[in-house]
Formats: sequence, structure tokens, C-alpha cells
Amino acid sequence: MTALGSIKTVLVANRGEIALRILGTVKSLGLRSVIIYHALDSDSPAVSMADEAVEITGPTPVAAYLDGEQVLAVARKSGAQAIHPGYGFLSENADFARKVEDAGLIFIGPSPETIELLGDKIRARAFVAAQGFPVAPSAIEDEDPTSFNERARALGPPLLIKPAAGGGGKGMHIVRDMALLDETITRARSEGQRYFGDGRLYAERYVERPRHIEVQVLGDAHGNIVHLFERECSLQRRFQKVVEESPSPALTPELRTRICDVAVGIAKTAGYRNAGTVEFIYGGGAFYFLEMNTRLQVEHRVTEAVTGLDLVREQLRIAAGEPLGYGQDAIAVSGHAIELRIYAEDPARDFLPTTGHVLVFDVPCGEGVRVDAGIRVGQNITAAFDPMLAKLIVHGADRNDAIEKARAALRQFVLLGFPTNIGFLNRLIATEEFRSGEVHTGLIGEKPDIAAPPVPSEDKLRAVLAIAALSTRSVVDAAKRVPALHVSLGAWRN
Amino acid sequence: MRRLESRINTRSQEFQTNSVHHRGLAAELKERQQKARHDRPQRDTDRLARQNKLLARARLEHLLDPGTPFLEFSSLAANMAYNGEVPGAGQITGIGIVSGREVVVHADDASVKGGAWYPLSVKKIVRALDIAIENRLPVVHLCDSAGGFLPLQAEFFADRYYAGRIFRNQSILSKMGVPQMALVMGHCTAGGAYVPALSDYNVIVRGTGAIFLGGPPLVKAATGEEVTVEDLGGAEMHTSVSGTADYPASSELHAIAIAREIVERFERRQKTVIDWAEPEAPLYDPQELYGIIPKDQRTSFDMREIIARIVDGSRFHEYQPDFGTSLVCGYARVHGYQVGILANNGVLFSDSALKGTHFIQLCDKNRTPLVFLQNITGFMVGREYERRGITKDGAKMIMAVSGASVPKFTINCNGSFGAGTYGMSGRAFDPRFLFSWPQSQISVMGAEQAANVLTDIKLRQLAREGRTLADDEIAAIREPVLADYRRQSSAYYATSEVWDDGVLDPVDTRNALGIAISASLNAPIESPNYGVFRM
Amino acid sequence: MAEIFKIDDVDHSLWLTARSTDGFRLHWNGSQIDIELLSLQGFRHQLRIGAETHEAVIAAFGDRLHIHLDGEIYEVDYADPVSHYARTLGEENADCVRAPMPGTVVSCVARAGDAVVRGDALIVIESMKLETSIKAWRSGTVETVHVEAGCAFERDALLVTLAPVRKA
Repeated sequence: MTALGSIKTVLVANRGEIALRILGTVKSLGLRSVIIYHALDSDSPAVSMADEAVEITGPTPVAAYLDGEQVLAVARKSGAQAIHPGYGFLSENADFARKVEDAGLIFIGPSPETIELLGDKIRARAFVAAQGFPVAPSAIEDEDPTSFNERARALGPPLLIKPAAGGGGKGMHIVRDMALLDETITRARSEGQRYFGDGRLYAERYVERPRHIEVQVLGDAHGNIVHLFERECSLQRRFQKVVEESPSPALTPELRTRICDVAVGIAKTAGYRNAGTVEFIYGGGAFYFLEMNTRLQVEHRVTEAVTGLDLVREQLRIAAGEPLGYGQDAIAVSGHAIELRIYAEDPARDFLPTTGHVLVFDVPCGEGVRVDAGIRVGQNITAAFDPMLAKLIVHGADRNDAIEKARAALRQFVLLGFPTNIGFLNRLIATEEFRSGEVHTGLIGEKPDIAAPPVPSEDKLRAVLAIAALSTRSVVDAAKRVPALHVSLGAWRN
Repeated sequence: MRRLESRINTRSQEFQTNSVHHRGLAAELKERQQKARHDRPQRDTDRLARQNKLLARARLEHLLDPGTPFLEFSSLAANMAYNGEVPGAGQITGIGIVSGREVVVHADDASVKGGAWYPLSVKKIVRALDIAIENRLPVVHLCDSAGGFLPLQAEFFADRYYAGRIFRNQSILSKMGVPQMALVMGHCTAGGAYVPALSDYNVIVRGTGAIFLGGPPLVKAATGEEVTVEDLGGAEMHTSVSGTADYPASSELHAIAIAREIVERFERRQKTVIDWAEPEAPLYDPQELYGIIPKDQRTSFDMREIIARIVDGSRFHEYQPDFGTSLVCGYARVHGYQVGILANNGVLFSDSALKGTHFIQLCDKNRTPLVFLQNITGFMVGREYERRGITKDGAKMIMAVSGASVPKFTINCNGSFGAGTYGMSGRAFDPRFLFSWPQSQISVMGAEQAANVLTDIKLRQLAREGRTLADDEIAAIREPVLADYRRQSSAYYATSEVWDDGVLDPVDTRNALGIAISASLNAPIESPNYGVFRM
Repeated sequence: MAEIFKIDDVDHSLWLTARSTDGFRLHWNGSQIDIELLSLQGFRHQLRIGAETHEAVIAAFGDRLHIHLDGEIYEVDYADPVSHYARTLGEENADCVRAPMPGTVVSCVARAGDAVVRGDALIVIESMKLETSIKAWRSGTVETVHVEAGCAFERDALLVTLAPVRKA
């Protein structure tokens, strides 16, 4: 068996597409793989791909994947030396990372201390500001809970109320009308308690039509830190990313250098190890630190496409103690990549999550087109997990080429069984705004007209109805039952 | 099979005159049918709309398979009766396709006198059920009637083929294993209640459908009991308490959807197989039919020209072409089905009568349906002909027509008089279907002839009394007789009295025959069997 | 009676007639066109419509068809006529259930205010030594449970009322 340093076996503590993606690299490195799975995921592709699969249980399916003790027990029993947490679930849980290390295993990610520092959004902000890096004007509740509402009010509209322990865009509220400030704060607090077990808040000046730009960083255990350039993730809906791309069409080379340098600076000061992403808000020529994610991100494939690196491979190498082995000048961006997140949701019905069986799953293929999916034909998609089904990543010679590839790939993407956002994505990247690169986090919200599919043309409708009629047994049988003579006479009347 | 060669010059003056005339008659037919089928007093259509009822024709269109033909019978029944106030006798009957099955449809038209049954309504319904029995066709009844039209009860109640015959026919259909279903979309009162009760399946519409032997007013008069329509015989009660009705429906469309599903369940028996080949359109344009029959009903013409514009490929295999030439006999196909055609080219003589008798037997043995194209004034009369046995030869022909087991189809193309009607399979001889063309006439003798005979009798009577009449006085006797005869021998009178199954535009004959033949094959063809031919 | 297909809550009415050769004629929206569907491989099909040819991926689940045609995805539901006409005219929207026969109430599972889906047990009754579970005939909110455990009732007695469905 091959080994990477002391790592011979890796436990993938995740599910769906990311589990499959991580397993791919683990296998390509010749390492042994173990995966945990909940019964609902028993027929997922990742489970069949791993060398060993161990079932986990919990009061809810999500709870099972959040059960650190159970995951550790599986790691010990299966003889894994390292645990890759993927994203979400336990990936930014400092307690879990600590327990893994205490157990003598390797947590593939930064140190528990780093996770703690950067995981608490308020602490992270304070840390970054103290180092002299740009942050948006804000009011932190913790500093003085009684005056929080007042200080928030003093920031002036528009402002954003955010949960301290939050992430992934959940529990955030924009306030434009200060008359609603108090009730919004109350609501955000109770949501923070409900989703993250922590009701603390902070308020931040909100940049109108902000762009979300993030920088991928990699740090080894030997103090070497590089950046892998930026990703633009401005197309969001309810603070969830929908489309990401690299490079960002908004940045001049000069701005790019500045933002990436700031990101590296932050990572260095934090003594960051393994892969991480520094997120910024950019608007009106200025950019502010938003937060740092101490894990691999959903959209990391975009960076891989333009830089040619395998980030999971780098994560494993770093976790095994290897030095990066290359410097910043070895990293360059080639071409343009776009990622589109395919969700089980119905854009026509306010993007409500959809469920059903995957009846057909045919992904587009070709040069510069890749699909990461954790689903297979026959799988039952339920409301138990996050509705993201797959990621479509395209890589073109330039942005327009990438957009054309993306449009073609979306048209060829056949996922049948329940509504998805595939058609919506195609309409989205066809808009003038996207084509010209004039995107911002509120764009999708401003275009409710593209949510629902356009009414089909008469010709299209005719074709669809023809297919439906010919595919429906009782309709075909009814037509066949009519004797030939009467068919030939048609609707004759005397 | 050889094609007929037309000898008509379609550019001749005569052809043009005939064509204009007959197109006019066809247009008149279409217009009269349109009125009879659709013109209704506003207050009747308003009332139906208020009651949330569809018009009978709308129900029919929903019931039938879309894109399929409907051969309607006697659209102009009662057009010369009841002051013209009961178009179609308030009934719609015909053969259509429901869920792929050929069925007879019988629908009460509630937009005509509330769907009340007049004597001719009863006759039309009985006729439709006779067609169902003879051709073993399932029946769908669309019931919505105010009941019998009491002022005329003497003409529809007591006799053998009056209203009771409807229920007897229903029972016989059931006995024969031919399924029936009824949709109760309005009231089924008194006798009418038996229509759904005697049907194998029935569906009743909530709110409008009701079945009862006596309605609330009658019940109150009879026993003093006060009860609502719903409570007495509505959908709820009959589907859940009495079991008289099978399926409750929340609306007429729901009822029709259920009905179609029921008909889909009917057994599809093997139809009788007769000789059939891939159909071919006539070589000659059927539109030319308008120009062939002379404008004057008494002028003769060659029936082969008619045949050529009705049959497949205009192909005709003539039998005994040189013998009995006043009767054209031969084989042809209509929509693929092989048929034996008998058509009149003049009066019937002994030779033509014998030829016809022989040909009928040939077709019977051959399992070939018979098509009679009538244009017959009668058998030849005179001393010479009687000595040669014209009477017994005519009798032989009648014996053959009566005994033939193959289905018979009769079209009165121009005229059907006297014994000629009998020999050429008139109504009394049970052709499965009988249709008239607009110009055709039917009576015991031609109007002119009848007028002459009656005037002659009158003159001789007066002469015995020593009186003579002036020309104008003769005319005064003759004209009313002539007018009366003309009126009562017209196709419109015949169809009004339901002596036929409808007046057809000549151009529609081919399709009507095709549908009719196809329908007739749902019944078996018995073995040939005749009475005694007086030799 | 025409066939009804629903796309995005819109009803489309059409019918087919068979052609003497293979294939059918589609009658829709006042026009007719020759159509034919050939199975290629797996779920892939070829639609011939008039003079055009289209490739489509078609998957069926019950009466719902999922169609991928020319880069777009459609969901089409077939409404069988009996259910369609029963449904559109409120056949299934009755608000209350009555006792099918005399008996006693064993237990009340649902309470006023409960949201129920079709098939949920509402009350359990006993009659002629047989226990029956009275189930919700449609989704909705329980308005009133008219009986309680232990009480006896006659045939047709009102048992449970669901809140009326608001018609759009």
C-alpha cells in the first residue's frame, strides 16, 4: 500500500459530491479510503467507490454526519490515519479537530486554534482589523451588549445584521429602513440561537451592489503560504452562492495583486496551515475583509481549473507534513473558469427545495467541461440534506468562451425526476449583466422575471405535447382503438 | 375489376342545369338540417344554461372519440309535423365511435320542448334501438326528458311499436348480450325511468339527474306525499340507497368521462368478416352526382353513372349485362367492402325481376351485402306481361329480398313507387339502413299518375250521373290531389315520418354506406334461407 | 372527449388519431400535424413532427413525464378524464365525513387545528366487533372532531369536519 508520509488510510467524513471528489484524489494517490454514510446515502456513488464504507446513525440524517464521536470511532476502528472533513458538517468544528488530534490522528485542515480564531466571525474580524487589514465599519455586540442596538443604528443604513457563529450565508439580514432595526436584531438573535446555538450578533455597514470576491490560500506546516488567485462569487440568492468564476471580471491587475496580497498577509499572520479562503466584499473601489473559511470550499474546482492544481492533493500533502515545494511565481492563471451549482429547487416556485427520484442523469462532457456530482440514477432525493446535487465547471480560453461552453453544457445537462435550477442558470448567465461582468450579490434578487421559465413558444409546446401524447399509453391506445375506416373519415358528419 | 366508363358530358347544358338544381337541393337540405339541429328558442337555451346543462349536441361531441365520424339518423324527423315545433322530434340518434367502439347513440334533446317524447320521438327511438338489435350495436342513452307528450298519448302509448317497444327493445338487446349504458343528465320520468333501469350500466349527474316512476307533482296528486326531486329520485339516493343508478357524477363532463370508461370495458366481439380490399377513391368525382340526375324527376338516366361516383375506383363487375337491362346488377366495393348493387334503369320487367332475384341469391350465398339504388316507378303492367308472369316474377323478387340474410342497404335516389319499392328492398323489407336523396319521392304511385287516376275516377262517376266538368273544374279536383301527393311523397315528408333513416346529400352517400356496412358487420350473417319461389 | 395534459398548472387539450401507416396525427390548438416517436437508446428518443426531427430524453414516473427537449426540461402531467373532471368540479373537496354505520368511538387521533395529509388517521371507530380507522380523504386542517372516545353514534352521524378548501 502506498503512503503519503504517515497517511496510508484516509477517512472521508462527508457525503454527496464532495465525498466523491475527495475520494477521487485519495485513490489517485494510491491511498486506502474509508467513508461514513447514513442509510439514506447507502446507494450514493461515494459509498461504492470507497474501499470501506461504515454506516452511521443519528436522530436525523444530518445529525449523524455531525456526530464527531461516531466519526472518530469509525476512524479508529478502520485504522485511518487522517480524516478529511470536506465542507460543512464538522469541517469548521474546532472541538472536533482537537479531538482528532488528541486521538493521535491527522485532521486534514488548519489547527484547532486557527479554526477557533477564524471560526468566530467577531474574533476573526477583530483579529484582522488589529493587523491593519481593511474591514467594514461595524458594531460588535459582545463589546457592549446593552449599547449594541444603538451602535448598530449609528452605523447608518444600509447595514447587515450577522450571527457571530454563523457561516455559509445563513441567518443574515439586510436593514435599509432603520425603523425595522430593533425587530430585525431580535429576529436575527433567535435565528442565530436556532441554527448555530449562539445568539450573538454583529452589525456591519452594507455595501450596496457588493461583489463577493474571495482568495484561495494554501499554507504548509513549514510557514510557506501562497495564494491561488481569486474567485468571484457574487451571484447569490439568499446569501447562497449560485455561480462562481475565476478570474473576477471586476479586478484590474493592480487590484488583484492588492487583494491577494492582503489575503496572504492575513493567512500568514494567523499562521494558517492547509487550504483556506479569505472572503472580501468589494464595492465602489474599496474592499473589506468579510470572513475566512478554514476549509475546502464548494467552488474550489474553479481555482483548480485555472491554476492546474489539485487542491485536495495539496491538502493531503500538507497534512502529511510535506512542504509546498513551490513559490508564488510558480502559480499562474490560464483561461477562465465558471462553476454553476445545480440545485434540487424550483425557481418558478420561489426556489423551494424539490424532491423525487433521479430518473435520468446524463452529464455533458467535452473539453473544458467537468461535472462533480454525488448522485446516481435511481437515487431518492429527499429534504434530509442540502439540495445541491452537482457542480458544473467549465474552463474556456477567456470569459466569453467559458460562458458559451457553460450555456451549451447546461443545455446538454439531462437531470430528470424533479425540478432543478438548470434552466434558470442558463437564463441567468445569458443576461446582459452577467455577460458584461456587471454582477453583484443582489443581482438575482433584482431579476425575478428570469426565475420562472419563459412561456414556451407554440412550436415548442406542440413538440412537448406530441412527446407527452405519444408517451402516454392510454392516449396511444385510444387512438389505435378507432377502426381504420373511421380514422380515414375523420370528423365527418352528414 | 374493370372501371365503369362514364358517358356523361360534364360540360353539357343539361349537366350544368341538373348540377345547379341538385346543388341547390343539397344546400337546402344543409340549411334545413342546420336549423333543425341548432335553431332553438332563446328561452330554452337560457333555461338549460341556468340549470347548468350542456346542449345535447355538446354532450354528443364530448362523448364521441374526437376526430371520428358520426352518421346521424333522421335529423329532419317531424319537420312536417307538430307545426314544425319539434325539430328532429327532439331526439338525436346515430352511429358514432366511443372509446373505439361502434355504438348507437340516442340522446334526448332537452332544448326541444324539454326533451318531451312526441309520437315521432318514440318512433325515432324505437328505430334507433331496432338498428342496434339488427346490427348488434351497443347503445349509449343520454337521458334528459320531460316525459311523454300527454296530449298525443293515443299516438305513442298503447300499440305494439309505440313507447313500450323502447323498453322491450332494451330488454332484447340485453338478452342478446349487447351492452347498453345510460347517462341520466336530466329527468327520467315514468316510462323514461326504465331507460336507465334497463341499461346494463348507468351514470347519474348530481343535481340535475333524477329517476322516478312519478315526479313530485304526480306523487302529491296520487298519495298526498310531498317530496323533492332530489329526495325522490336524485343521484345520492339512487346510487347509495336504492342501487338503481351505478355511478354518481359531479358534472356532465364527469359523467361523460365515466361513460367512456365504461364503454371501453365492453367486450369487443369478432366482427363478421366479408370480402374486403384496401379502399380506393372513386375515379370519377362524386361532386358530379349533382349533374347526373335530371332536374325533372320523371326523366330517366343511367344508374351506372351514379354507381361510378360512389364505388371504389369506379370499378364495377356487371352481372348479366345484356339481360334484364332495366335492372343493373353487379359487384363493386365501397370503402373496401365488396357489395352487390341492384340499381334501376327503368321499370321492372319479368327478365329484370328474375335477374334481380337470381343476383340476390348469388350475393346471399357469397356473403356479399346488398345495396339497392332505387329509381323505380314499378313493375310493367299490361296483358302481355301478365301472361308472361310479371306478377309471380315480382313475387319471386320480393321473396328473395325478404329472405336474404346478408345486410341490405337501400338508397332512394330519385323515386320509389308501388311494388317497385318492395322488390327494391323498401322499408318493410328490413334493410339495415335506408336513406333518401333530396329530390326522391315515395308513394304508391307517382303524383301525376295518382292525380290522373283519381280525377279519372271522379269524372267517370260524374259521367254516370250525366255530368261533365269544365277544364277549370277538372283542375280544381286535380290540383289539390297533386299537391297533396307531392307533399306526402317528398323526401322531407318521408323523413319527417321516419320512413327513412335520413335524407342524404348524394355526395355523402359513399361515406354513409361505408359506416353503415361497417356497423352491420357487428351482427352475424345467417345462412341463406328462403320461402317458396312461385316458379 | 379530448385528452388533458398539464404543464405548469395550465391544462392543454389535445387528441391523437392513428395514421394508416405507422405514426399518429396530433390535433391541438386548431391544427393537425403528423408525429412519430422512435425509441433510440435507453431514455433517448427521436420525435418526428411534421418535417422536423428532434432528439428528446423522456422519463416517466406514474402519470408524470419528464422531458428534456432542445436543451430545456419540461414536466408534463397526464390527467385521466374521470379524475380530471371529478377534481375540477369539487368531487373530492367534501368537508366532512359521516359514519358509514352505527357504532362507538374507540379513540380520537386528530384534534381540532391539526394539519393532516390524505391518509392520516383521524378517529378509530368500532362497529359489529370490527375496528375501523377513519382516515383523512384529503389534506387539510381539522376544523372539528364531533365525537369523543366512548361515545356512540348512528349511521350518517357527523364525525369529523375539515376546514373548507379555499378555491383559487
